[in-house]
Amino acid sequence: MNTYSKKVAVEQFSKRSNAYAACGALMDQADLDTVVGLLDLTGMERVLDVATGTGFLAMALSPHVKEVIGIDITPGMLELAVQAARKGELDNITCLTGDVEHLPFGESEFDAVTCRFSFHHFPGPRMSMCEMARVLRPGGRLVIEDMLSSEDTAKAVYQNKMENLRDPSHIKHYKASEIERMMHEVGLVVVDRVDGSSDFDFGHWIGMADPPAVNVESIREMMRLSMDGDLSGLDVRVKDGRMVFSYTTAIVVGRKGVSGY
Amino acid sequence: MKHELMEILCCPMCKGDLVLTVDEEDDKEIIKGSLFCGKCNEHYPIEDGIPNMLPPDLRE
Repeated sequence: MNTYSKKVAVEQFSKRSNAYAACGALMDQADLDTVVGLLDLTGMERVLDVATGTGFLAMALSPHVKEVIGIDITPGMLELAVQAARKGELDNITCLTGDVEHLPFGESEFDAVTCRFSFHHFPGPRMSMCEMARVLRPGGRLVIEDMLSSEDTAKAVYQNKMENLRDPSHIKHYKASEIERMMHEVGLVVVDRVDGSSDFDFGHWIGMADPPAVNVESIREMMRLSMDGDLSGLDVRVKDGRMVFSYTTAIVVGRKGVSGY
Repeated sequence: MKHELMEILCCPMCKGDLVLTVDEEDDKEIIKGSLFCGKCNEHYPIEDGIPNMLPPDLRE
């Protein structure tokens, strides 16, 4: 199941890498600056960017650190990252293909680990969290930014059902409390959290993942039904004749204890 | 990949040391080659400058 889910993710992102490379929410400079700011960087750090994708965060980090290593399970996404880094002559970025549950690094090799808008794709969230904490040095920070689900379980289930219909590589949008608990379980102390929201146009959002037409209609219907009573927690509404909704997002910062874990 | 990456890279499965073989490189980085884990008896390829460190069951 685990291997299968990862292969689905590779397939999905290989097909859609250009769409993701052009996604406004992913390349939002203010949001990237916020993540960089939360790391308290001095310029001497070695940072691991997990599921770096086409490298937006790796490139934002590059001028502020000594070195960025970007890792992603999908080679096609990395090729775009490598091309972009070379074009921008950011020669402190290194990309490699790998799996977050099996990071090819020893313990405590990184001053910071980042993971932006991808934790919801990981089939083994606890193993992934464990690996990211393992490669982090004591005192170092793990920053996870992701779309969330409502803290209301019924709404969270409704939202995740739509997400699965849209993108077969979607595993789960977590409650903020679940992400914090998983960090705690691997010995990290949550030291900061920045909540936000991101508005999406339904048509654009569907187009990015390009699911089968029958799924599009199911999701559209679920979105429409969600308007009465906010069943999905996504605040679905009609604006200028178009269906729109808002993801709640959070940037959660965990610090590894100095005495290890 | 740059040669310096060898300082932190290890086998994704057993976390043991890797042996680098370079087939092609330029003045900046290794373009083609492989990384070998003797303990797992596994080769991890480097192609177009990008090492593929996926576990064997995730590689095609």
